[in-house]
Amino acid sequence: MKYTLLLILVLITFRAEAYVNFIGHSYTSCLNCHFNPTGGGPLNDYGRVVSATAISGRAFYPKKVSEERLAYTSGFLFRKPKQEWFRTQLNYRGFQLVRNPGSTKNETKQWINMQADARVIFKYGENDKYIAVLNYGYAPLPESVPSGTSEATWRSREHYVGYKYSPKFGVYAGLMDKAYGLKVIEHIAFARQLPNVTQNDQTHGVLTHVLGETWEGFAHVFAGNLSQDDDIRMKGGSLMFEKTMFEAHRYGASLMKQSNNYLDLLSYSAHTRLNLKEGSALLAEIGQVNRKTDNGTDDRTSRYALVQTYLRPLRGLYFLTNIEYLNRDIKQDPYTVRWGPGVQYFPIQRLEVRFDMYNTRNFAPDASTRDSWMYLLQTHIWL
Amino acid sequence: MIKFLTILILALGCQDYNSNSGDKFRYGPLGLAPGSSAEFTAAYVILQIRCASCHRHSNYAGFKSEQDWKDAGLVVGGNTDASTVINRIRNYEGTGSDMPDDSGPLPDEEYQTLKTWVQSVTP
Repeated sequence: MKYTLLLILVLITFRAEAYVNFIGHSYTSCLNCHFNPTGGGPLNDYGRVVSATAISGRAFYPKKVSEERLAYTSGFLFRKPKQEWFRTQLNYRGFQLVRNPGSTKNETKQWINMQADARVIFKYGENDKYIAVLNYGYAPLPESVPSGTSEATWRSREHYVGYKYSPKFGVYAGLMDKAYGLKVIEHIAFARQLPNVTQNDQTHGVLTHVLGETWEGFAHVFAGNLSQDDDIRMKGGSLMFEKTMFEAHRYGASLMKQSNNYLDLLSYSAHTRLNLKEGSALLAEIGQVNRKTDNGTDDRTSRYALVQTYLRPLRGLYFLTNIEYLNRDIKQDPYTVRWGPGVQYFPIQRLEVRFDMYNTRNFAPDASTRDSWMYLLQTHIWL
Repeated sequence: MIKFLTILILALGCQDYNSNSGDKFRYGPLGLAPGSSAEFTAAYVILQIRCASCHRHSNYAGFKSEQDWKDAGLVVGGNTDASTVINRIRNYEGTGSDMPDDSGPLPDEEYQTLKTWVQSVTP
């Protein structure tokens, strides 16, 4: 009965968000589907139902399997939770990365286990008033990290507690993503790398979230990742604001200041999430990052832009386009453009397969441009 | 369960990697070898920004003297054509895979600074 009601809620109100592009389903606030109000991490019960019934396709299900049945089986290991206070989730994401495809000399192929998380959520009260989230798992080290390093491959991705004073106001404390800009899943995006908000840049801090009728605000004060040495922890704060305009389009702005003993970053951006209806969406962000280094070797202001389109021809299937721009130092001419198509498919609930192709070109007046290609074949499974 | 706890304990002894893990080496005091030339100092800054940020596995950030670069086989004193730090930057073997490969072509001014340094290094 509970899941029937949830399903009805989904089909009638249809408001929540898992990926940023789900604004295309008229979902504006991440909090509807995630425990974390900035999105990402564990899905709440509502989010799992949305994922099973509205996001995932049903081409592989017999017609006799009802939407209600899909919703009923959206819990951990396809089971209905036996209690209200405890949830678990398992999450895996891996991909085949192919660089310079087709090149006899330079083609490289590599399978990368990007994420393997076990998530535990304790919750209590109406509307998950009190929550405690633990998200622990595997995170690969980049190739650039020296072998034999003391840096961890198994780590806490998130651990935080949350208290919702009301459905419109909540406070969260612990290790979380910084509240800044569009939280697209492409962690190589210039829009995520320049402001230091990639998949490994969670920080300990206190996040305040306010949800209005047509707007949403975040204030995040943070002290860096406490597992690191004090001198490299990025301490600071961020503000993010989003306003719903013209039905279900979102327009927002972010500001973030962070520094450690060696680097000072000031990031600011404007973004939009446009609902193109029927699950299709357009996302855009433009921003700048001012960086000042202790030894003066890399002081500069960088500018970036990101545009992504998600077109949904049928349930579970999205055609993507990704276009990015980077001017590493706005006082100099060279700039980089990265673009490419992609396909994202949720054939059944709990499974996402995705193909992304990237072409990167560098432009400069005093050097020949280069053209490089790579593609990703990605698998994402959650239980 | 025991395996999980073992991994957890091992992990707690490590530091989490993130975008700032290398900040101390990239942006902290340069700490160059005493008597370093002005050409090397200028080149070192470029090498740190353009190369060491990715080539952490090669410990470029730890090469604090001209001799370190020579010992690593990256610089041949006085010979830019034979020096890897130079010939990987422009039209490398015609492959179109010039360095740095993540941030656009090296500006000509910085390229010339590196060449000037390599030419000044004693063979």
